[in-house]
Amino acid sequence: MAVLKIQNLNVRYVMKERQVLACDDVNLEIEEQDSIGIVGESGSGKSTLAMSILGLLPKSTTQTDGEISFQGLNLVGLSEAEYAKIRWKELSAVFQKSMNSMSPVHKISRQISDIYRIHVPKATDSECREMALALLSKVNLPPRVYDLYPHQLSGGMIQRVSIALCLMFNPALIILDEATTALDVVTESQILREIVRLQETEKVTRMMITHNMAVVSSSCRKVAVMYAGRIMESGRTADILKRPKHPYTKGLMSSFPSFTGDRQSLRGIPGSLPDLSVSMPGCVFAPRCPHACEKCRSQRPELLETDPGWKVACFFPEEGGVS
Amino acid sequence: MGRYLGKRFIVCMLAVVVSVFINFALVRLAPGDPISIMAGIDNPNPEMIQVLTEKYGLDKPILVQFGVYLKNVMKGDFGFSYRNNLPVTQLVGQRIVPTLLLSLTSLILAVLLGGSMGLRAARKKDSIFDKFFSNLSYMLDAMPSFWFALMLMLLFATALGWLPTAGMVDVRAGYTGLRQVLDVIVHMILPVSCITILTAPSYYRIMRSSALQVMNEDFVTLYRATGMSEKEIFRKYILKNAILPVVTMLGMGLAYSLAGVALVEIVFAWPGMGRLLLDSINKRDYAVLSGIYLMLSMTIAIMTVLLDAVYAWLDPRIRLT
Amino acid sequence: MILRAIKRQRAQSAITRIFGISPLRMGLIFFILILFTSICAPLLAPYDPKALTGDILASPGSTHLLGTDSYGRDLLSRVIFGTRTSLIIGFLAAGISGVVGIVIGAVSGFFGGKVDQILTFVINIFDMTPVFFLILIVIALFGGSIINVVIVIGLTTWTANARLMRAETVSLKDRVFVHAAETVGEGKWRILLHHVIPNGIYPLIVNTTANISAAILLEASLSFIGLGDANIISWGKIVFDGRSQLSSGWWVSTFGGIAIVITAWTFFLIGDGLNRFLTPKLQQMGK
Repeated sequence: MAVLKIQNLNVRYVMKERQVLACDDVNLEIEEQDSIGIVGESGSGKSTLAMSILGLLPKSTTQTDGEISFQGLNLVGLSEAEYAKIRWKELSAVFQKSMNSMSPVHKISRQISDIYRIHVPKATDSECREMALALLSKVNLPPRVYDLYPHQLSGGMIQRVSIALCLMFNPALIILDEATTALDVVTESQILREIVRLQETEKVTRMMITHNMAVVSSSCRKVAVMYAGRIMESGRTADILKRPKHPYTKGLMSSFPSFTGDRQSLRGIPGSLPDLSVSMPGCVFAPRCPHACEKCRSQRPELLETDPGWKVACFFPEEGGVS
Repeated sequence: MGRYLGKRFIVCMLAVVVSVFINFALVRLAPGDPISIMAGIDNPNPEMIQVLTEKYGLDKPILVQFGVYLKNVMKGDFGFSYRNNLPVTQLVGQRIVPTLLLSLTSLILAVLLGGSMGLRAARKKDSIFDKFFSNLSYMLDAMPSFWFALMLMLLFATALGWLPTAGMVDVRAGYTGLRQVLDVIVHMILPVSCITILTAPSYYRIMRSSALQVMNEDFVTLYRATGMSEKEIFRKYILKNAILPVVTMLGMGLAYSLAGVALVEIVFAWPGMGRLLLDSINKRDYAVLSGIYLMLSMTIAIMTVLLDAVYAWLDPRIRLT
Repeated sequence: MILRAIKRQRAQSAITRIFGISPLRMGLIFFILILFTSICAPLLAPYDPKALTGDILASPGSTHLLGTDSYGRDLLSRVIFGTRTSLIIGFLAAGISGVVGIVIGAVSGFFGGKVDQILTFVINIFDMTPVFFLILIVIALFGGSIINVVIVIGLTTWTANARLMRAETVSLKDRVFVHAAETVGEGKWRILLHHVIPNGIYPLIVNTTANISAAILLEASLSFIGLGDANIISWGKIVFDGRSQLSSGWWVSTFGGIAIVITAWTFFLIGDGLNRFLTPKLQQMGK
């Protein structure tokens, strides 16, 4: 059963002079207890996608249409009051670690208790403490963290606290938006291992937003590749990484150095993101695609299933390894 | 935190020394001779000259004079007013309570009023509330405190007769006890309103801009995702983070607000330091003027250190290093 | 949903037009009016401001638009001539304050090291002094002539300018054109004068308008306490004069003060407008 089903989602940022289409006809499905990574470069719309699911886009400057079906409930256009009922209880998030990802002037204990009391308003102090310590031990943090301030913790520890926080009410879906991006490589792999382990024990469904393919390859069963607001390819990570079908995915894969195999020169993808305020006919990747032809430039490829569970938005998806 | 405060303390003490020096230098640079200036009379008699010369070591070299002067100040001797025949400290002491009554009350009210409205303006940025009060705050800045006081007095006391025009108590009625307290409060309404309305705008502006900055922080996004009500996010998290610059502002605004208080006191004939200031200026009683200046310097220095301590305590990033 | 967003934007811009129409434009209009008034004062004033007409404490009416004071002097004429005092004091004092601030700030930021430490220290200490009372003492000692007032205000309000200039200098001195000038062999002082200061001066322009207002307000306060120049017509003095006749002649203090408010507010508007105008420009310049 699908926990999250996104259909024809369009998200537009409306400004005085122009509009930017950040998410363009996005279709996505996440099964229960599955893990999916949304991969894309900066500006691909992946964070916008996450924010639209979480209902955190500024109402005055964005327009959303389409459907985000979460446990049968359509999140698009949902009132704040209705949203508040599912926030954190069914749907939670971990954000990128930054200087102030938590309030610097409040203790960790205070912040955990305050969040707990949103849904359990009558909880006593000792109940909060008990719950918090249990949460902290879940992410392998020592109890002394409870009485500390955020600036006294290392980056990895803060992210562990954030992860513990998001699991507080055993939500159905957790979204991790660049959760490991600001961490050093060693800590990153530790945290990723924690996340995978927790998913097993807590039985949550997980969506990870990242620009780093390596994160996806090591922790997500499924992957969706986004470019300029559209999904280019989606399917099982193992399949896509080994034999990417979409030229963009191929380009991404060859941008990463490999430990094994012959020595190859590193290649980026020539060109840059298109201007998202201008609508383009045809495939949005065509200007940068080495195989683009007239059809690509005039008609828009739909996201179609080529194999069971494997969808590609290209008129000429290619099999085979990285070219 | 101790070391940080220690450094601040030294800077403040040095500020006081500089004030003393400025005072010292001014008397000697001014037209006229230092003795008459310090005596506050144009033609001091020989005895007075003798007394002053001894006290301030006026016959000794300049550096020694400064040393003597500094030592006196450190001992708490801020000068002697020959016109009033009292040490300056005593003169000030008589008037300080009414002044504190006004200034402290106004300060607290101004911070509360300006701060809460600034927070609200940040929350409802670009709304009519925000635009109106932001423009109003600039207009209030342009008002001379003494004129605003006069206008308030004109409207509420003279024209409408709702409130008393002057003084701290109704001298003729001679109330005691609770009635006296009420009487004082009634007399306080106009001056306090005046000072509060004129000082609140700067707290409004700084709270507003501080809150706007905090609103962009990542933890606000986090709390919105958890379903915390906007009210609670603002009341607990944004407020405590945004209030730090306001505390800093308190320190910087001190020197300035004291001037405003003095002028308002003069308008309302409030029996405080403002009156003393005016009298001393009219009589050219320089000793009192310099005494007040020095005392204020010290007060500001002490308050600055105190406020720094409060800031350091409020911000755990400083407190726990 | 698009319609709703567009409607909201329209409403907001309409309100902007009513409430905050280009503050810069409004301020400049007022400023030109004030400047015009001060230059053409003799032509505009209906009476000689110092003349004692027989009409003591006349209320505003057809003969005396703003009434007269307790000496029988026409208030409108006095207010008109007062613009001269205020503008002179405002500009001169702010000018002195600006020059002192620029020099100290630029030297401090450019040479760095011990010089910077000492000068920053001086700035911090100065900020802690009760400036108003210092001015009082100086005026009480040296006399309240307009020159003294201007100099004292100028020498005590420079700290904000110094801080701004220092910050600008520090960020500018690492820019390419400064290094280029150094390489070519231009002397440090020349670089400071020709390159750094002209480029770093923008935030100071805004601050100077605030200083002009502050100077006018300060002078008014001084006059109100009786420390101003007795020979010059100043709005502060007008308010002071009118104080004792508040109940019988409310117009004296009121109109004297309104002139102060309008003038001070004008410069705030200009400053605010300049700020908004310059900020996007600064962003474009790549600061």
